[in-house]
Amino acid sequence: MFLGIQNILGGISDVFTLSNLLVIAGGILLGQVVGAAPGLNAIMAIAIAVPLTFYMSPLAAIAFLLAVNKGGAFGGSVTAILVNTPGSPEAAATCLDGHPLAQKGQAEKALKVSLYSSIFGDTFSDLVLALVAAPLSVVALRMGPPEITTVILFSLTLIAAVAGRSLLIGLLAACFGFMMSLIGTDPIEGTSRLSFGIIELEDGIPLVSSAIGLLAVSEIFLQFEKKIAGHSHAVSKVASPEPADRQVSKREFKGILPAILRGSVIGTGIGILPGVGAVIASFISYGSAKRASKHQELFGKGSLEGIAAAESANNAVIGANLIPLFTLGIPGNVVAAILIGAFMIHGVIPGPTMFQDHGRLIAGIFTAMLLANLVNFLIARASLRVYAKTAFLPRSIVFPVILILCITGAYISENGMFGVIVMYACGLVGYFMAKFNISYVPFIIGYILGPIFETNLRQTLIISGGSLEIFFTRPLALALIILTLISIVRFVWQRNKI
Amino acid sequence: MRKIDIALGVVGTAFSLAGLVYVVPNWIVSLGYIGIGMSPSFFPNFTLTLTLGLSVLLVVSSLAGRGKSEHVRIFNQGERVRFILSLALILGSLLWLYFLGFIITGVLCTAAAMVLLGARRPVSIALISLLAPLILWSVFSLLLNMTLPQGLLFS
Repeated sequence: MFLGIQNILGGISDVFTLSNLLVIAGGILLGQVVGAAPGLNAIMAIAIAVPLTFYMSPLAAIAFLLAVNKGGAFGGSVTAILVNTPGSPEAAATCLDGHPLAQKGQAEKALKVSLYSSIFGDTFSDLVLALVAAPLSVVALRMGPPEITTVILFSLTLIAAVAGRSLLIGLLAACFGFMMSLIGTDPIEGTSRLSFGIIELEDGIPLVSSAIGLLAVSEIFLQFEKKIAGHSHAVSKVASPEPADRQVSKREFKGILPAILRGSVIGTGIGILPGVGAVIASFISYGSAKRASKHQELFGKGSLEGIAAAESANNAVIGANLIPLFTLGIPGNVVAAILIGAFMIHGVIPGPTMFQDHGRLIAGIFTAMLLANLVNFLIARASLRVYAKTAFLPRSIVFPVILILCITGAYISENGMFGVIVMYACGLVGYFMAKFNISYVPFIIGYILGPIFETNLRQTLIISGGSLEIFFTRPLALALIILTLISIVRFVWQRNKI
Repeated sequence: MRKIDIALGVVGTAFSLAGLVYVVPNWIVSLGYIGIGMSPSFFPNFTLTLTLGLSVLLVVSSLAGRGKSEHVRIFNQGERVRFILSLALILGSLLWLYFLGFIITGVLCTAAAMVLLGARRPVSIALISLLAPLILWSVFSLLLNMTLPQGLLFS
């Protein structure tokens, strides 16, 4: 056992304290409510929730943020099913069958299928994470600066290619993320860099405020721009009185089980790849469930298999996306990127050394993740009808309250006005990125990975005396360069454009 | 998207050139070590050069792209007005926060944002804009003992 039995037992016992259990339940509740509210999603909830963790222990803080993510992922399906508006992009595939079912008065049944599938997919990928992360980190520990540089290069290329509307735009966004990370103090010499004489900039652009701005405030600006008058796709609020229309029978559950299993495997497999997010996983799983189904004609008209396939896959991405973070210190998605910030705030550097230096914490996090799935299930099961009402909250109430919460979070994170100014500036950047259809994912991941990439690239060049030959003489680095080139060529070939 | 991509490429080119020619030489302090990879300017120059190359490539590939150039409209008239109002709200909230503190800013900001988002019932606007900041202030300031701005006029 890599973590050691003492660390594992210690980690498990750390989770089962009253305060940690309350923190997990609170995170799940917050995530579910925010996810179920129209226009809000788990990523926004996590960005806003980071300042709340400043005074928590590292385990409580990470468990809380992961719980928010898990709760939010399920909450996103509530709006998808009830109002045909996915609470998060990955719930888009759930709309296809969830909403038609709700229109037939079977919203409760659709929500239950979504819940069972979400929890199964999430638990499956958490178990894979717990089993795979430690052995992979042993391999990762053998990597030197040239290998880490090329891993980041490969990840960024993959993220830029799949997250943006074109590879060039994605790479440009990542470069702008790098540029944002340049401001502050030089990571090797420790001298001032691009701070323009502003004292607050000496520490760099603060992560929490910028994440709140990019993810939450930009969405608020977009909502301000629209004139909102109710929901365009109102669902019949009258539920069917028939118990069969509200419950999932054993026979129905048996029928959707293959779709859940397939979705969990697809979601976990896709989630391991950096940048290839839950949206792709849920649509691939949906398509594959349709091909395998005996009732293909029901897909798009309220198929339980369709909901199960989409939800199990998009939730299975959650745990799997943390594998690159825990083993290499590379965020696989925006949530993982925000988690890096949260880890660092608590003095933990994500990556393979975490398993050596913080084995007990890692064991605690894995336990908390599995426990959070159970709590997610219990809270959601008890509150399905309340969330059904949350989905109909007017946006003119939700977004102003979120704006105040953002201002509070940004102010607290920097203990001053600077945080709020950065938040608004990043909010405007995110707003214009959305207007120009540029994904913020490569930008924010470029910003997070910038210092790690820079340090490793410079260390590599110092080791090699400035020669790039080192990248071609180390087998793993060479393999990763070839993979990067193949992914670029393949992307250009498939989309017929750069 | 062709026109937008060309504009993005031009902005990227101008930005990276300005960075390479003016910002990096003037705003980076170095201890004077010589050697590739050692200088604090190395990575900024590397990033800006990469940005320059990608921006030029974006302009070239967009110009060479097939199909008609489409008409691009970023804002319509109503959106433009609401965007300007949003900017006014940002500026207002920063000034209010600085001078008037968290609670008054919260009330004003929530009310203004609700009106911007189409709320028209005075009672619900008043109720929510009063309750939301008060609840947040109670949670963060009283319960979690975190510092929220008091405002220059009240401190």
